[in-house]
Amino acid sequence: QPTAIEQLDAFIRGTRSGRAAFVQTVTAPGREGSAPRTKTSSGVFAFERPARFRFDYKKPFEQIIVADGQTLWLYDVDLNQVTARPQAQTLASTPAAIVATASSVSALQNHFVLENGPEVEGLQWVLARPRQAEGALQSIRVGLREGRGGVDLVALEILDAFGQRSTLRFSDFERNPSLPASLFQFKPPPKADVLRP
Amino acid sequence: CATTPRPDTIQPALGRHNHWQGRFALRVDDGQDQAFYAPFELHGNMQEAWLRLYSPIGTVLAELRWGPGGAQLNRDGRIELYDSPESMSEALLGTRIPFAAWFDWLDGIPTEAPGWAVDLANYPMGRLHAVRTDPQPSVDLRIILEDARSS
Repeated sequence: QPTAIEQLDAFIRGTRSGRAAFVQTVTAPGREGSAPRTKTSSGVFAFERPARFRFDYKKPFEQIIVADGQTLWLYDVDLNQVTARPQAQTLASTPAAIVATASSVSALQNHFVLENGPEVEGLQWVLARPRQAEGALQSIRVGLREGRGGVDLVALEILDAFGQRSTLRFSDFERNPSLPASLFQFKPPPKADVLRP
Repeated sequence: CATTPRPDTIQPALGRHNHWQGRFALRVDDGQDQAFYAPFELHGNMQEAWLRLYSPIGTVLAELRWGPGGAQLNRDGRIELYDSPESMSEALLGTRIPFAAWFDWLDGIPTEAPGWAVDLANYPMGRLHAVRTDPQPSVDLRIILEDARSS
């Protein structure tokens, strides 16, 4: 039985690209006696190593996040606004790096301390704690499972410095689909406000 | 022409609330594309409140809290103290948010704020738009309100 970290390494080495539907559930800790509130959103996630990924949020509102290798684009359809930031600046220690852009476990270990977590709900969990202590994230847990032809990404759980937990559950995971290059290119719509803070 | 509200946008019930959730986009027209975009959650009133700004994947980017004791900005694991919510918002967003008016705008009340003009025509569809022309540089603030409650 391989360890969770060995499973993560097999996942990284075995999946050049991937696509899955996701449901994201954010649970804010109960504040001053009010019950914890959860917020759910859903969409499609795709990635292609080494540095490209895309989140298409469909519900409750449309929002597109594209990392094209140089720039991280964030487009809110209703607000018709695009913010574009250099990808390097935002990427290394974000959850996306773990599943989509890291080239190997050892590369990940430059930014995270990795630990084998216990098996829960039939998933092998890797616990990753950012080496940069002061950041906005406390820990990230990656849930993996042996699938057909390799290791499948099933869950990503992010605990931030405020104790807020965001969990992404992936389904219908496709390993190494051939994805059109255009999927990771973002062209702002003509009338959209494009900002590069 | 009156556009029919899309089914998934809310009709914020009129009346006073103390909890709002949505997204806001702030642009400072100073030629450096100073901009801030984030889903937010605001709880409280002008006297005592917290405002949380989120990343798209649901983590908290920053929390602004204020009350009788003062104003406190919590981000990246450090806490900064300010004398007012307005000076705190300037430190984070690059511009002073007129919070006294903002609470009213979020309830569909077009309260005046010096230098600002607010457009609440689309408030029934949860859309707010405010522009500051004085002082320069001008600031464009757009808010989409997803939920307004009085918990």
